[in-house]
Amino acid sequence: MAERVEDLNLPNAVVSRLIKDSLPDGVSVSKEARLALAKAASIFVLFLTSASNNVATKNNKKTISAQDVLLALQDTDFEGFIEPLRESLDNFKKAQKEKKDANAEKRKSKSKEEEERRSSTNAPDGDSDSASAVMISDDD
Amino acid sequence: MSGKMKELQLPISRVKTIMKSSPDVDSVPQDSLAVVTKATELFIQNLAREALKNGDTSKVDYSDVAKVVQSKGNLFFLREIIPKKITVREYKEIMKKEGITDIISSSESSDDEEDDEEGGEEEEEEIEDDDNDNEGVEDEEDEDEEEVDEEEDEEEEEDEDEDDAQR
Repeated sequence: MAERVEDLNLPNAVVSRLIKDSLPDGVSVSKEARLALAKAASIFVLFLTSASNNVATKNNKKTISAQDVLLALQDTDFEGFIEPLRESLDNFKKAQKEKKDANAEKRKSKSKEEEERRSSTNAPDGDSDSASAVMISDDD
Repeated sequence: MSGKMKELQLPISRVKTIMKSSPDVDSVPQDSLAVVTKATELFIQNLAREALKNGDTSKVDYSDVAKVVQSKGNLFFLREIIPKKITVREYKEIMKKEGITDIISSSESSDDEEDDEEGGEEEEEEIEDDDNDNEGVEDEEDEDEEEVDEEEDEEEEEDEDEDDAQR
């Protein structure tokens, strides 16, 4: 949960970079304009969340699915975003899957290592503990 | 592959925090989160581009952003967040037209902050007085302080007047 009010703002540095990337070279953006855009973006997140939630509720769902977000963009007159978003959603899913596979690989090789270590040394307690701790942090 | 696929630039965790600050949202699946994050990136860039179209072609200013917000139907939700800026004079004129004059005068004479400051001063003085007089009668002290405060206020005003005269 948000502990401070600043937690509800998006980081200015990233917002500035996004703005810069979207404009032709040599165009300057005043600080006030940047702050306004950052603020607008935070509100947009809330606005889109609420619209997506409406879509989900209408379909008797409690959690917002990616499809709900896309439908909400249609409802709120941001159709232009839908196509590029579909694309990046596919990419994201692909990346997720690759990550998952890679993690699974890692886990496999790790547990193998662990087994080897366990069989080679006779005092495995401390070692195996630290190894499993590493595995947990990897999952995150 | 990474060249073609644009990774997300805004921090997903922050977007999640914002989404969860909405009372009726408790969990957000990863892919929904990714879509909202990407949508927000597109939103920022679109708004910036629109703002550039709106004025000087070499600079984006607050007023350019405000103009886009005020003119686009789908940005209605931002109208109060990013209002068009007006000068105090324009504000007064609008208020006059609407027949509202009280707001201006009452906002000009709102003393809340001043009162707070005076309170602070009083406290400081009390401490000093305690140090100086070991066993003074408290009631009298309080009255004295009030008088002192009033005098000080008058002095301050006079000081300001003098300053103005010097300028």
